[in-house]
Amino acid sequence: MFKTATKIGITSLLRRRTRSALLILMIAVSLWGLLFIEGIYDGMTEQMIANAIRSDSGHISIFADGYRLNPDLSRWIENTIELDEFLNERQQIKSTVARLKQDGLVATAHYSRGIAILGIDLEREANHSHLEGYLRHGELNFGERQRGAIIGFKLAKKLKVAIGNKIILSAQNSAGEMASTALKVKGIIKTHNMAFDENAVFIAAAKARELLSMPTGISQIAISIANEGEIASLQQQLQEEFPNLTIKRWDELYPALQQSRVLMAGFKQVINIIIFSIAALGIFGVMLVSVLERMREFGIMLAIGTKFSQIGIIILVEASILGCAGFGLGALAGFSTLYYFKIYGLDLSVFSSALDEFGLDAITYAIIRPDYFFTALAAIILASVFSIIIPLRILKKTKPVDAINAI
Amino acid sequence: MLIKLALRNLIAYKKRTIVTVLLTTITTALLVFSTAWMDGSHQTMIKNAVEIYPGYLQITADKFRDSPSFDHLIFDADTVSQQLSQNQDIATFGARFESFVLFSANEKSVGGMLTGIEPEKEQQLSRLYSSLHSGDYLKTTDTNSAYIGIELARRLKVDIGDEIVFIGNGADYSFAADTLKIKGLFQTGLYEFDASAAFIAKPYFDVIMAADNYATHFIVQPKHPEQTVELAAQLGETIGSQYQSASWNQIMAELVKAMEIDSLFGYITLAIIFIVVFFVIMIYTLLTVFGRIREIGVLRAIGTTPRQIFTILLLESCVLALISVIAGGLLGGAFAYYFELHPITLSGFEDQFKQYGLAVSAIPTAFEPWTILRDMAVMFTLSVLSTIYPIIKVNRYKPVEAMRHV
Amino acid sequence: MSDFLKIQQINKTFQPDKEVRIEALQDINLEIEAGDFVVISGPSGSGKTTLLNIVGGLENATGGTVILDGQNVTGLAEKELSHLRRNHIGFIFQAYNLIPVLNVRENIEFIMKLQGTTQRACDQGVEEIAKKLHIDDLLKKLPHQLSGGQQQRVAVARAVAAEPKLILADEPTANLDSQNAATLMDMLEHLNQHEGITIIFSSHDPMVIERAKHSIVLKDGKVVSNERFN
Ligand SMILES: Nc1ncnc2c1ncn2[C@@H]1O[C@H](COP(=O)(O)OP(=O)(O)O)[C@@H](O)[C@H]1O
Ligand SMILES: [Mg+2]
Repeated sequence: MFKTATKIGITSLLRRRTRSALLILMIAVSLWGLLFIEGIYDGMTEQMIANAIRSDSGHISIFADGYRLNPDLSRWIENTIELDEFLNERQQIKSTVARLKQDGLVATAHYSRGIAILGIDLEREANHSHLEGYLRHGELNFGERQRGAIIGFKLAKKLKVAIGNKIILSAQNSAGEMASTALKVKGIIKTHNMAFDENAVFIAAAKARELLSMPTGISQIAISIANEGEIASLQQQLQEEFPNLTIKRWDELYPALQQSRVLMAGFKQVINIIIFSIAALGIFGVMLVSVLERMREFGIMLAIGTKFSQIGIIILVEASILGCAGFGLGALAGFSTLYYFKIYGLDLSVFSSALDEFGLDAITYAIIRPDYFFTALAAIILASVFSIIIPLRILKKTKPVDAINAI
Repeated sequence: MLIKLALRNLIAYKKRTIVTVLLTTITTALLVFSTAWMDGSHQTMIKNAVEIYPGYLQITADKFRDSPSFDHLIFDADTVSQQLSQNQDIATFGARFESFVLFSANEKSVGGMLTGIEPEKEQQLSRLYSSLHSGDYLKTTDTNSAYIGIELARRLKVDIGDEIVFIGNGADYSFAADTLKIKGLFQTGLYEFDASAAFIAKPYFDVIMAADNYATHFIVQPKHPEQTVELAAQLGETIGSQYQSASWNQIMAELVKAMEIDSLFGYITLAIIFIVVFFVIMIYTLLTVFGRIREIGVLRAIGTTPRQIFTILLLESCVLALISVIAGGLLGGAFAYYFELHPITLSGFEDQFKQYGLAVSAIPTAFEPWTILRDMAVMFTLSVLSTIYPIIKVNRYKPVEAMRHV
Repeated sequence: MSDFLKIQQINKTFQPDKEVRIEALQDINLEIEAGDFVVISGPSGSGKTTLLNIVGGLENATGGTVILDGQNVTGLAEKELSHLRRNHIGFIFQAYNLIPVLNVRENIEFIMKLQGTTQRACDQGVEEIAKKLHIDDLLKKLPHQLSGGQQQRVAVARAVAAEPKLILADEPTANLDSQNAATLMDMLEHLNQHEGITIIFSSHDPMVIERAKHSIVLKDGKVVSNERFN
């Protein structure tokens, strides 16, 4: 039966070539556009999130109790040995970094600004957040005597400093006194995390301890793990083990980014619904006309004993062929496009200064998720099935004799 | 005659008429409303960003914008002031002196911006006054009273009446420090700003910072904010080559560009929806036109020229497109108008907005008749264009072929 | 009297597939005088429709020429053909083929309008024709509200409205009962005799064929008989 139905279906689709081609093209083009939007927009959202995770929070950040509300030197994580042991034991943890953080002032001969001073272990930081990928000028090196500093590109622009220029850092030390040190700019980075690009100065951890008179203690430990699915459980384990520390997931630290993700998911759903409803309308029109035109043909088939359900199958097969051809073509085009942009990226550097505002790189790498295709396939099959319901009902109401006599 | 035939056909072939009108109407309404929404939200964001503090027009010394150091100050504020007061297109203006300092209190210190302002004038120039959260706003005669951001107060753990200390540089690069008493707190909603800015009256500022008759910039409030660009150009000519005037779209070029790119992505998304819509319109036109191919063949046989057939079919498309575009324009326009008067409030997404420098969650749409007409024209053109292929295709048939077509 | 319509060496080959070639018309030579009342008969598939289509400029001949009133029809471009059909030839089809969305009056005046006739002249013309063809009480009806006989009469009215020199009718009575067929033939005869319009129609109904003044018989694309009665 299916073989016959397919044969009849293909023949009749070929008989109305323009129409079939147009419909297939419509499905393909809409799917292509949809996949493009989904892949690129997801790529952008995930990039913003990845930048925040890489440059700052990791998947999980650990702070001393109360530090988040009052980030001062009296609220640092004091005993890190136990914590280090615990973290070292966990297989799922990819990397961890410890940072010292204190608000301060950066000044040049002509200009000054409030910033956050971040004392880091450059090697661990490089491994954790792939700092080299963020480096724009200079090198990732604090120099032998640890008198170097790495700053964000926006801050560099505001301070009008370049590699090799001197800056002066001032901050309050643990004794409550102002302490200052002169440093040389060794590297300029662009993390696309505004908090860092505009407001952070990275210095060697040892230098920070010296400046702040803090021989021990850490303000933040950022953890990045291999499998995002395990974030919540690790957070729970940590919290149970260290009840007097604050353990935060990245989405708790960057609620706006989490909102972006939710917003984007909703947005994609709406676009999906709009596009597939319109596409369904297209399939419906074609199927309806194709049934109406062939009333006679179907009437004869009914008259010679074909079952109504068999005619239903013929029509369904026709609709499915159209739907699947459209899907195949669109999925292929969409996949190739996204694959290209996944490898080479979509270069929007024309807008790069504007993209900075959004925390985006100039080049967006597309994301390809299998569920784009599954959703689309399901939607197209659904649309095809729905599109033949009304034509079939009209056909059912018509008696074979009337159908044959109808011109 | 041709018009009559076209109209009759539209009534006779209802399926195509309904689908085309419905789709085009909804799409037009969608475009009109989306444009109003995007423009509205961008205007709100920019207006907010501009009016909270930076102002519509800034006058600085020539090199200050590129290299904002104390070497490039306005060293003769009175002369500039005099010149500005002669301009008819300026509503008000005021001088500011911004400097970056370290604030400390309660063993806490925080880097921030201390600015000397002319308190009375500033009321018309920015939203500092209207953003008063608690305490009092500044007076020109105030001495060491400070008006500081609420987040900055939180970071320093101080409140109204408490004292803070600042350390910084005077205009002559000398060391400057003083104790300030907090007179009022403000909350603009822009976190960054609220967490770093503090203001004192300029006369006192000038004394402690050795900045008498100096300013980093002047803020100018035009009488007609929509003509800021022209005013900036005009001032640039008249004020002298040692000064520079910049309008908000130069000062906030990045934000403006960010809005453009946001619109760009909005339009890309809409474009993809439109493509699908126009394919559907094309398909329905094709179905109808080919459903009538016998009739078209007969028309040709009895002497109607291909051009006349083309005219009939095109007229049909135009009528449909016109009806839908008008309906869609009215519908979308009505929504745009309604939501301009009753802004949409997106509570719960404040964090998201703050990220883009938007301090409010109520966003009015922008009801702009010319933009709506432009969108309608675009949709009309697209809608008619999408029917051209079927029309040309059916016209290529010879009369006999058409009459014989199954 | 000089020949009004000359059909010289007309050939028509259809080639729907690479392998199939249909010789629909072979070396047709005919001469028809002005005011003639011609029937083309012959079995189904003998080439009647094809011949009428070629004469009316609806189909291109593979070879040969058709000269209508001194004008070579076979060489004309599409636009000139439209013009020719509109102003000089009236068509009547087997399936009536009225424009479904226009009422009877509008169907009749359609070509007049295309010709640029004023509304007043149109109204006058339509009234006149309708009276003559006894359809004056149908003018406001739509085609689907009419019987087959009525529709075909309207089709005749439409063909006449343009005041053509020649009317081509392809099996105009095939879908009609004998009563209606006779009425229609009366009408065509009347037009031929009183208006002097040359009429060529095809048919295989003997009752219709015998009313013609000039009978041409086709078979397998060839003229097998061509005689004039007086
Ligand atoms: N468009 C066409 N394509 C292929 N063959 C055709 C076409 N039109 C007519 N024929 C063939 O030409 C021959 C003459 O047809 P036609 O003129 O319609 O005959 P009649 O009108 O006498 O019945 C027939 O064999 C018919 O099958
Ligand atoms: Mg025939």
